Amino acid sequence: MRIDDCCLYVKDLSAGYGGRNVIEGISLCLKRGVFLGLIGPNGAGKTTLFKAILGILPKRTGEVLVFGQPVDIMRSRIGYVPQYLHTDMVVPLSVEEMVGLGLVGRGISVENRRNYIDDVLNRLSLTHLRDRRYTSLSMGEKQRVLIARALVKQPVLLLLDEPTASLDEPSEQGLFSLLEELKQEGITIVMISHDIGVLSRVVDEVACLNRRLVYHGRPGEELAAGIEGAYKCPVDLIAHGAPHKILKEHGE
Amino acid sequence: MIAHLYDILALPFVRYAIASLAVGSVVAGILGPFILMRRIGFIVGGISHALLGVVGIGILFGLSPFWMAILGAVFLSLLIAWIERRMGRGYSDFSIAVVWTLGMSLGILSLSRVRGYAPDIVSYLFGNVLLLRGKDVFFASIVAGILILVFGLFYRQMTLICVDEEFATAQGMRVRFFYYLLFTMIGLGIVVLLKAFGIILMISMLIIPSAIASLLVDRLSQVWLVSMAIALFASIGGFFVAYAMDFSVAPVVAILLSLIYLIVLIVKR
Ligand SMILES: Nc1ncnc2c1ncn2[C@@H]1O[C@H](COP(=O)(O)OP(=O)(O)OP(=O)(O)O)[C@@H](O)[C@H]1O
Ligand SMILES: [Mg+2]
Repeated sequence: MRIDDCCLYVKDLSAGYGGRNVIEGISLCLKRGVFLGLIGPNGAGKTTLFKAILGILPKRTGEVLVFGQPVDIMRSRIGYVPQYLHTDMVVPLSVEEMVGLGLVGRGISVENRRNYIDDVLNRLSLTHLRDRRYTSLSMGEKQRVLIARALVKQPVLLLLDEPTASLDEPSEQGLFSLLEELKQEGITIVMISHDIGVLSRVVDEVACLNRRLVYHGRPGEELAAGIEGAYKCPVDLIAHGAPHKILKEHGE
Repeated sequence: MIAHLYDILALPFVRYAIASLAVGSVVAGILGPFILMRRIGFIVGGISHALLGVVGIGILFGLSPFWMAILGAVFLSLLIAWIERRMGRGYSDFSIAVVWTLGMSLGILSLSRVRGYAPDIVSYLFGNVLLLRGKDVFFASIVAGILILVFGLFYRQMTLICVDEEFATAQGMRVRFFYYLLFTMIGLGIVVLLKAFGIILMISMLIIPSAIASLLVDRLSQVWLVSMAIALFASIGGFFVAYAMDFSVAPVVAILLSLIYLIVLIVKR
């Protein structure tokens, strides 16, 4: 497989904190327009993997390429939705302004800025909230604003860290159909989630992370075997405890 | 009454005072929201007290207090920023405490070695808006101009690093550069206000107008304008009240700002 064929190409990536590697030897290739679900127990290193891909955390070994280019060059085309944003700011920031921060450094004219923001607010059904204070929103509304902030720059690669954690059923469905649309437009998506049931209905591929990539393949028949495989490589999994959903589905 | 106003305004020191209050309001309006966003209100007290050390050492070695204060304020601000980065975010009160106590202690020690007392220090720390001269106003305007330029160009970047630093990194921003740029500007802003306002009024001007604005509006872009307007209103208004009642200006303006804040707080919350 040629590296240029991969929208996201990761080779032998390891990263961690202090003296400890949290993730090790991660290699994967995602083609354009692929939707990957990333699962793994708490503390498995999923968020860490995102941060290493994005360069928020320095990588200790390995390489990350987006369409064959180093991440540094491609950043303006990578959208990132963090798992959690701690803001208890007293200074107000409107929804529109928060979303607009996703365009910082993208070099976009004032008019286009406005259009991009209108468009993404519309897609995420946030238009009615545009003048509200970010801090005054509910968890689910905040999460949608963070998704909008990642999408506003029209990324080619989208990394979502548990974006559905606070979403109600309709919002979750809304998000999934939006992601489906984006996929059709050729955007490559990686989404972290603990909800393996929902995940396998919407994604093309699933990867199970537990310090290393334990499984990477298609959902469905093979996934069950894959997760069982993941579960049978339990050194870290047992130490950390596997997520309930996985346990349930496999009758443990 | 109007004629009387003309007479007052004809006095050069009154014009300088009003001009510097106006320039100070602009500086406060620009920096205040960032200081509030980063929750580093006490950086103002920290730097202005720690300056005693830098200026004291300067006097001991016969260096110009003017330049020592400027370079010192920027240096101290960057030192606070550096400690905070090493410690991790949320430890700004800690880094400010270290710099505050270190600087002030150095100041006391070095001044104890200066024969005779150095009277300049007091005016540096406690300022007097009525003692300003043309060149003070000129210098303040230059700094205000630099701030307008820097924040005019980079306010989005500065906002993003205050709101979500990891996202800023992911976005490809040179986070460290902007972070230190922000603190350089804060240092400059503080030192330029210090001579006119003194510590108390400066803390008040850099924090309270943006705190009031944050209660009144829901958009960051409006916070800057509204805090500038409030600072302007309170400082010029306070100046005339002080003049009419023969009080010193700084406490009157500080009291006015605090009162407005408390009233808005009662009405809005
Ligand atoms: N800033 C940090 N400093 C030190 N260790 C950290 C830090 N962040 C995470 N870790 C450690 O790295 C490991 C992986 O954390 P990570 O956040 O990547 O897990 P995760 O798979 O995203 O888990 P979750 O499902 O809970 O979100 C954990 O053991 C955690 O304690
Ligand atoms: Mg996580």
